[in-house]
Amino acid sequence: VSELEDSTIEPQRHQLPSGLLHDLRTPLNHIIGYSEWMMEQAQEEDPSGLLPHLQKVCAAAHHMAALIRENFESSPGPEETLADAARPDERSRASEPEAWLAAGKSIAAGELASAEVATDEPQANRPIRDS
Amino acid sequence: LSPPPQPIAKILLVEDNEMNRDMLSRRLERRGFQVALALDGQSGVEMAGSEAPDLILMDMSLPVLDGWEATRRIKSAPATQHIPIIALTAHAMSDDRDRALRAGCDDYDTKPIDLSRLLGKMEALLHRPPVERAADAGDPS
Repeated sequence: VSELEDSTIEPQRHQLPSGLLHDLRTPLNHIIGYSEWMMEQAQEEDPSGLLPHLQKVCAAAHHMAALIRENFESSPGPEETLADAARPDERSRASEPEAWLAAGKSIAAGELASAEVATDEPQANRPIRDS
Repeated sequence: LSPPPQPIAKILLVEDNEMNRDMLSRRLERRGFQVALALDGQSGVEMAGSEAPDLILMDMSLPVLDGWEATRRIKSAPATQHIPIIALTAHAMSDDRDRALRAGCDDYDTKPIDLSRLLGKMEALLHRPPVERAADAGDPS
């Protein structure tokens, strides 16, 4: 994954069978869709609770989708690239909750490790991170 | 005086994947759309006639009748040919887009779904005059 993320490597697309790309995209659609939907709910009901965690999940899924597009699709459709995923979307900033999604996408730019979760949740309940 | 309320647009979502169907219908209903669901292409064709939706979101990889054939049938029937159809697919290559448009889809979008982008496409088609839609439906190009 670190090699795929290394922007110094010359972009080199590799063809995967179309069915495999479809099968990779489908679960990402579930993760992105449900996390964005839950973010909309959380923003209204409990912004300081689940929202920061959901942003991380959503950002990571967007990042993974962009990686798949940029590395395995020879002629990708009209979608965001990895650079787009890293750049806050001005259109999305116009309204909430889309602004939250834009903020989540900026986390996908590589700030995952440094993004702090503002929560009083006990340490024991936090997700385990690889060191 | 407050402006008159906007009529609620009815969307027919043709999607066989339960999670895709559940997730997208929840998000659309949250934004005020009325959503009808079809689980395969044949049901999609039948519900296009019986539900008279304002717009159809059509998955392309469907059982019984795939999305391309379902679109062709909807666009060839006088009663339903004016209904705009947006193809939704996790097949994301440019020829997938061309194939969907050739089948008669008015627009195309990919999964994972970017809801802002999809809503923009839906708005554009929902506000297109019916006369223009009918002309497009009859355009063989």
